[in-house]
Amino acid sequence: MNAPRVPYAGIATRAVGLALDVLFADLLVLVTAGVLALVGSLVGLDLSTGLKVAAAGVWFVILAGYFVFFWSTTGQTPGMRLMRLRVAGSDGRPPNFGRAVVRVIGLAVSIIPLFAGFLPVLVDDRRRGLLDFLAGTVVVYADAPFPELERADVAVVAEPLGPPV
Amino acid sequence: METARESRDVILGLAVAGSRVGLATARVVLLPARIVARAPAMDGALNRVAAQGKRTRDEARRLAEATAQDVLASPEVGRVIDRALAGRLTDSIAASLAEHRVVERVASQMAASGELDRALTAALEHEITQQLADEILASPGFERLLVQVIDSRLLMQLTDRVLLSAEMQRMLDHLVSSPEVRRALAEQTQGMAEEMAAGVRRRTGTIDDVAERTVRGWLRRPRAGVQ
Repeated sequence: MNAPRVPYAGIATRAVGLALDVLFADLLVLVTAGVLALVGSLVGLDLSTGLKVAAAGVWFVILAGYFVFFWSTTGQTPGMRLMRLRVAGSDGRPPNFGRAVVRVIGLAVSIIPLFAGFLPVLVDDRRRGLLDFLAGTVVVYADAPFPELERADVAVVAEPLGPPV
Repeated sequence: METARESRDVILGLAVAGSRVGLATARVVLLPARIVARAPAMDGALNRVAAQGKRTRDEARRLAEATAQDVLASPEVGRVIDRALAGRLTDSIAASLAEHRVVERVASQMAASGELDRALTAALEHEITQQLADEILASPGFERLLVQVIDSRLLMQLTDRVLLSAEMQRMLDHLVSSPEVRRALAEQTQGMAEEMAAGVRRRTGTIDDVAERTVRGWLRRPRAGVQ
């Protein structure tokens, strides 16, 4: 007998979606950097250390902008769309710009300690990671109805800095 | 101007002249008999004679047919035909057929009249044709022949020529630029991508459950909130 389907996305599905997003975002950065490098070489621009640091900053901004833009507009990045996932607030709608920014910061914080920030997904009943706790969001399957549990528990979920477990 | 005479022409001329003289003489001799035959009293006798003549004619026809069959079945006629076919006659006939476009004319007439279609349909639907086709397909000789054809260098060369031909290039251009083909290719590619993504989703879903169950088992923490 099949177990009832959990409406929240698990760690492997989210990992594949995130990997796809990083790939797409890096491709975007690569194309942009290629064009800029070509233009720079044509005008004889020499990349100093300062410019390299600035380029790294631009890379981070583009990467962060990618996630913030998609999360706050449709609730789905292209990678999440392929995996049929969406990120939502307690009301079932995509997070606003502020929450999306907080979520990106939470993403970075989750990745830096060797992805340890995603471990709560394995034990939390709503499969939330550190970034979800920080932003007050959940990741659900896009083709499943939004869980009523979230709507009934708005007050709890809306707390951005709730307990991790 | 002197004319060359041959003895056989002279003999033939004499024979024709003699025959004409004989026929004229016979007409004159038989003139009284013809006058008598036209008399009304001679009707019955003439009918009997006519019936006798008809029977004789039928008998003669049957005899001629039997003789013709015997002649045609004889080995001599076969040898004559064989010699005729081996000689220049066949070439002449073939050249004549080609020159006057006989085959083309006959074929176009048959095609126009629908006879060709009917004949082909009848031949294809015939039981013997099906039986013959089955026997050919089942025969090892046909299989060997097919293998030889497939392995032959001629086929490779032929394939290369077809692939390099301008017509093939045009056909490929047409196919590639065809909106229907492009749409079909796009749909197929999209379908394959969708199928692959669905497979990945299914597997990751299973891994999600297994990983969660394992970690929760270690922590002795049962799953709650399953819908």
